Amino acid sequence: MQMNKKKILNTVFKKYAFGYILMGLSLIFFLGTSMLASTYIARQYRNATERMIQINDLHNAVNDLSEDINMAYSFLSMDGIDQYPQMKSDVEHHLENTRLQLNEKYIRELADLNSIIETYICRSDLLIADIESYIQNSKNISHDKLSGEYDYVQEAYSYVGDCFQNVYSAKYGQLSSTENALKHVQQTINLFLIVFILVIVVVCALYLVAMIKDVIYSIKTLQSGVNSMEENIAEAKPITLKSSDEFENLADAYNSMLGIIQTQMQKIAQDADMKERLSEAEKKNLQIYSDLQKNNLDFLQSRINPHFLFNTLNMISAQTRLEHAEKSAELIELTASYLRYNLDNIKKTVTLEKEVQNLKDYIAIQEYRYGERFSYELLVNCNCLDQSIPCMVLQPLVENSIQHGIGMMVKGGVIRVSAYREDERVILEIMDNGIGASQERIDEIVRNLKENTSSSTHIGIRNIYQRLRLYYKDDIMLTMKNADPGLVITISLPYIRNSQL
Amino acid sequence: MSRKVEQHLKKQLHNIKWIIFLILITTGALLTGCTVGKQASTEEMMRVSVILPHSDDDYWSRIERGIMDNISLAEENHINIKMYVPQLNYNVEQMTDILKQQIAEKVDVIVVQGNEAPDFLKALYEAYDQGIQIICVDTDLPDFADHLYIGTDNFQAGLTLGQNIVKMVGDKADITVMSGEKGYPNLEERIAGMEEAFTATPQVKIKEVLYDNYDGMTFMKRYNESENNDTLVCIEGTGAQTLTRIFTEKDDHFQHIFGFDVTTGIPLGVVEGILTQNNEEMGKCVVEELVHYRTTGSYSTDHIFTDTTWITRDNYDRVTDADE
Repeated sequence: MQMNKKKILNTVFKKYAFGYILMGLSLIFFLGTSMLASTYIARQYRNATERMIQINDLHNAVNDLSEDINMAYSFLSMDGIDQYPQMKSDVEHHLENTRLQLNEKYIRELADLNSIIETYICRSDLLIADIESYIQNSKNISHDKLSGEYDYVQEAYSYVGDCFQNVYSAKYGQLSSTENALKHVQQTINLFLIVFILVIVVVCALYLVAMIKDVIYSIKTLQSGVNSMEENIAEAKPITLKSSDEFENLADAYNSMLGIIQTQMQKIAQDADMKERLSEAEKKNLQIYSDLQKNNLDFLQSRINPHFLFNTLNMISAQTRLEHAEKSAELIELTASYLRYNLDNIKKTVTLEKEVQNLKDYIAIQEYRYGERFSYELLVNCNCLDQSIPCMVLQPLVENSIQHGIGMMVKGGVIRVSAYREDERVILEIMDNGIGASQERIDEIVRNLKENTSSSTHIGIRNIYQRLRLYYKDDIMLTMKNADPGLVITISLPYIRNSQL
Repeated sequence: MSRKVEQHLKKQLHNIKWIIFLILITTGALLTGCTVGKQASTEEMMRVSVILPHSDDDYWSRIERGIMDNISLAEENHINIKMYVPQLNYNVEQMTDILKQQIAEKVDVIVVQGNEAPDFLKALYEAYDQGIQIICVDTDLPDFADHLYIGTDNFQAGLTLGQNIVKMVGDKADITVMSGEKGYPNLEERIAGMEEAFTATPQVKIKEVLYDNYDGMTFMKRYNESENNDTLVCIEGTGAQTLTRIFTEKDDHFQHIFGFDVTTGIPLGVVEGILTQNNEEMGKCVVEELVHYRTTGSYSTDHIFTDTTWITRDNYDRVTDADE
């Protein structure tokens, strides 16, 4: 039944409708019962009255018959004899009604009355027949016989009178008991209807109150849910509502929406946390990498005593000058200068001017190696000489141009290094006219640089790029493009003045 | 229509059926209470008229009680029993009139006390000829072929009474018998039984039999007028009843007084011995035999003798306690 109720009364409208239908049906039942009871009681009274009237009609008919017999006997009247069959028929007709009454309810007095009237008629038949014979031929029948038959009929008639009295008494008694019974029925029905209507009123009232309470509870529950969501959506709890109507659907929808929002919020928070942790890990990795490089360098520096090396190179240079090997002496001096720069400044930031000076030393050394095969141009604007820059940025890039660009050329190689400012940025540009690279190759190199993908090639450029990113906090831009012929590497840096200058 | 919807509709229909059923049951229960007093009459009722000679005599009222106590048995078998009593006690003329009315009413069975008064007997014959069943209670009619007799074996009762009188009065007694109206064979049979009992004791004699003593005034008149005899036998109940109402102790007018049916004078000493009949048993037997006739079309026998008990002061308490 509970399941059925859930299925049937699944909307507020249906719940209200059910209450009103219940009241309507009860009212119909109430009115129907009242009508039935009234009809029944009226019918009982009507039946009782009709029965009494039928008996009275029979009584009148028997009296008429008796008068007719008296007229026939006393006055030897043919009219009386002629009317006798009709009178008798009337009595028999009314007798039939009382027989029907007996079939409905047996009353001994009525049964006796019916029988005695039959006897009366039977005796009367004989008397009337004999009177008729007497009138037609008085010699056939004696007067005494007729007198005896008449007395016999009158005896029966006197019993008929007694029986009518008995029947009337019985009927009045029965009527009285019927009236009492009907009164009792009326009282019982009235009591039943009063109790019924009270019960129905109470049931309907309780039902409607319960339903209104349900609706109010549902609205309050939904309201509290919405309020909690408004206050702190992350802490808002799902609402529980088992009203089996639209409110339950609304609550389910609210819970579903809340669930989705909270899940999305959690996901966003987790993503942010994950990004933060990833960033931290990346920084840590770079720090570790930087520390490792530093350690490697420290290790190398610990292995090489720079003063010993420089003194040795200076001594070799002095010796070669004594032996008039001027070029060798110059080459050794250049090498010593290059090494000193490298070893002294590897962990420091330097000015662009120092970096350019070191680049000149490096190119001078390379000129001894490559001779006339390449030339170079240094176009450094003086307004950016104080630019603070990590050590060893330009030299590896130029070395890259020599090795991969013009290293294969027999002659005519040109390397041009430019440095100039554009507003608050410093642009470094290294250009060669070497063999260059295809656009696909350039794109791959640039992608590897930006994604910091581990690769065995272009370690020098990647190293420079990562160091610049760390130093300038990602505010750099490195581009490579085919100069046709040759390759151009452009680095854009924020202008930062070196305090050493 | 989907199966689910169909099942749902079936369930709804089932619920509606239940609601209609409950409403009908409630309405039916209400209206059942309205059919008070209604009874089926599919089977034809057998009408029985019982004509009792006396309305307030303890004797006949006990027979009536015996019938009424078993009236439900009669009703179950569609037998309607109606009692008739004449306005004057034991008035044969009035009883004859009642009898004639029952004949005119063509009842099925008439239960009467046997009486050989000519008009009464003539009416009985008329009833018999009309096919009405005649049952005699208390008093049989030896010359009338009634269909059934229920009551005391009156000759045997007289014999028992006579034998006990001899035991109590000894070898010699002059007896006055107070009887009822002439024409009641039961009383004559009792007297005959008494005479049979006295044959062995010639000195114990019935000197006179006085009739028409069915009311107290007549009885007392005859009682006071009777002077020659020493023993009084009231051969029916009125005598002992009247003496008990008049006297509170033994009266010296007769040395010995014996009677029938009314025992209240025994502890007072007003009467010495009473022969009682089992009247209620008679009434009960009437109903049982009517049912037997209704169901089988005949009686179990043509006569049923009920018990009698001789009561004196010696066994009065025991017998009356047992009756209670």
